Amino acid sequence: MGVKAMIQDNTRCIGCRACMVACKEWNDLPADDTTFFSGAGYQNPKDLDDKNYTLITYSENVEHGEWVFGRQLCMHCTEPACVSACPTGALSKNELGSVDFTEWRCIGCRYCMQACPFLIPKFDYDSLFPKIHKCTFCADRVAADLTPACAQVCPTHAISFGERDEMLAEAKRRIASAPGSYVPEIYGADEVGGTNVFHLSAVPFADVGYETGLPKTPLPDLTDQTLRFVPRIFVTLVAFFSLVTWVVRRRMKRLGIEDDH
Amino acid sequence: MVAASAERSWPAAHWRAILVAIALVGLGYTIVRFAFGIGAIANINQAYPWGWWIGFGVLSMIAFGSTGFTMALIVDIFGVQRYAPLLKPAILIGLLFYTGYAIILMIELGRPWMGWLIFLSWSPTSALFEVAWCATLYTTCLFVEFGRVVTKHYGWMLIWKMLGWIYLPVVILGVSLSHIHQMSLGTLLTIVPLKVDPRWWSELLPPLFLVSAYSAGLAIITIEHVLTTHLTRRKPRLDLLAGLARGQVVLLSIYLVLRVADVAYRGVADAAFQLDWLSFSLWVEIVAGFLVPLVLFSLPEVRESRWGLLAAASLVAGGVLLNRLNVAVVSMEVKHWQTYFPSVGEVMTTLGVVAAGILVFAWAVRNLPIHSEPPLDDAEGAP
Ligand code: SF4
Ligand code: SF4
Repeated sequence: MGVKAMIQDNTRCIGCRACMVACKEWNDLPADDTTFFSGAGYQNPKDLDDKNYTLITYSENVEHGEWVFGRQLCMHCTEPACVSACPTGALSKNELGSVDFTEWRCIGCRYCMQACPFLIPKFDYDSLFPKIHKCTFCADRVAADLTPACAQVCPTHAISFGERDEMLAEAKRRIASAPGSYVPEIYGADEVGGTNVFHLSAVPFADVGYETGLPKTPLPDLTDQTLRFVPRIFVTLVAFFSLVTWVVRRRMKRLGIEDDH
Repeated sequence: MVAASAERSWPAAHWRAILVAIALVGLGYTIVRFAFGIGAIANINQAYPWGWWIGFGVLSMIAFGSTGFTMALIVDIFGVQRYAPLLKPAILIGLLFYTGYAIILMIELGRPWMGWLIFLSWSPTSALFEVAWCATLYTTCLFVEFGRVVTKHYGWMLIWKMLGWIYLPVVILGVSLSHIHQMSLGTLLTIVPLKVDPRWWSELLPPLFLVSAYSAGLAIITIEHVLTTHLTRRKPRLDLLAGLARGQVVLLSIYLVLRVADVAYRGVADAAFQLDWLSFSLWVEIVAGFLVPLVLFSLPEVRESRWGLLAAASLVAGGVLLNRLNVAVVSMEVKHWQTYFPSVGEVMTTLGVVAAGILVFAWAVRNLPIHSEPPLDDAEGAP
């Protein structure tokens, strides 16, 4: 199987949140108490958390005079910041292109939460055995030739799932065939070097609560450009300090200076 | 004789009681954390996974722990033996800060019982992996370096001799490890260019962290020397502290030039003059934490006065702390409705570790040959 991807076509979304319910059911996540929230839109709950791996965001769009919806879920980046940040390999990329979490390897450092540009990984702070929670791309379902639970359940076919090249071509086709209905941008096609979730929207993504302005190059490059040199810097430092120590000690001996501690 | 008795009874009973109380409160919160989870005592949350524990307990404590490697660099590597009197306290303080950081990390990690897995993993792309390895190896080096003091004092001459053989290689290794993990602490946050505010995010974070770590180390040594000699009524080596102060002038200048050049080069100078809380935090950090001490350290009057040196060094320590908090916590851009402020539990656990560290340090000063400065005579020492 090749790399899989998803289209999230927000123009077709009616905000029914069936995807959120299906996600909870498949992943066996508990219900939670929520309170009214009017911060950005009126979504409920207001953010992703350890009990919600996906979220439909509600924004009131004054210009359009209507509600616009967006969706949050792990983007399954092509070169994921979270995987590169994880010190123990608890997060890893699989052959389907999605990012897996291996619970027993996690040390709970939460560097992945800090590193993810889409604010996706979440943590159950109240648990005695906490761990990272995030969308799995239903890797278990996909391995069994099913589509992810959210894609399966969506009544308006706002969510499509398939081979990455096909999904990308399909997303482009939709924009080209109805230019008036979409902003001419596929969110996720080349954000942080590309992801496996392509969002389409009728209004600018910034207005629907998406993280915009992200670099088009993979984020791990930024740490790599330093970390790559660490072994070389280390060897150089050891050599340099050894040389200095040797020269200094020789001089001290010649001058008869005692090393007195 | 005055000094000897002052030393024996230091710190004074009421101070000792206060420190023990703080340490016990920290221990209490730690017990609650392990009984009921991190959420029971901490305010870190889904938007702010890193808070005070990382900003103070890890990033700042490791920077403060630079005492050990900066002094070892001066005395053992460059062979400036004049500064040898400052070396033993520097190594002990470094050791205590690194141990303290490790304790706080065990409280902070969600799954500390899996921590060992880092050492069986291979994740060279992770700055945290690099920091964990180097900081742990370096702590081992500090134990070897300080082991020389302990074994000599208790007359375990064989071990002392053996540690002597490996001493210089261990110092060289330790100083090298320190350089790279102090830099890698800066690398930690370079992976999120859009989450760290542009006033702080920079590809230069690694060298900036290294230069400010040197400054932090020298500052902590200065603070320690002024306070310990005062409290145990010994004669402070102001000549040595003045030398460190001259070093600080150079280091702080390099740091400020790098910071300003970096902000200008990245074209975010406008942001620095924006009127908001982040700019306020930025300017407090730069002015009070780096610029004012730079000016103070360059004044001969300050370099000759232990209280002047103490004030300037304290400003540097505060500046480095604020810088680490700004980079890792304050400047984080998340949704505007998401907030974080350290909880009492987060602060008390770290203060508890610091208080325990001070008690251990005081014990060591009383019982081990950490300080060798001569006692003040009566006339001079009368408070
Ligand atoms: S969206 Fe975040 S959590 Fe998902 S793969 Fe990308 S970096 Fe990792
Ligand atoms: S919290 Fe767990 S999954 Fe995330 S970076 Fe740390 S060890 Fe890896």
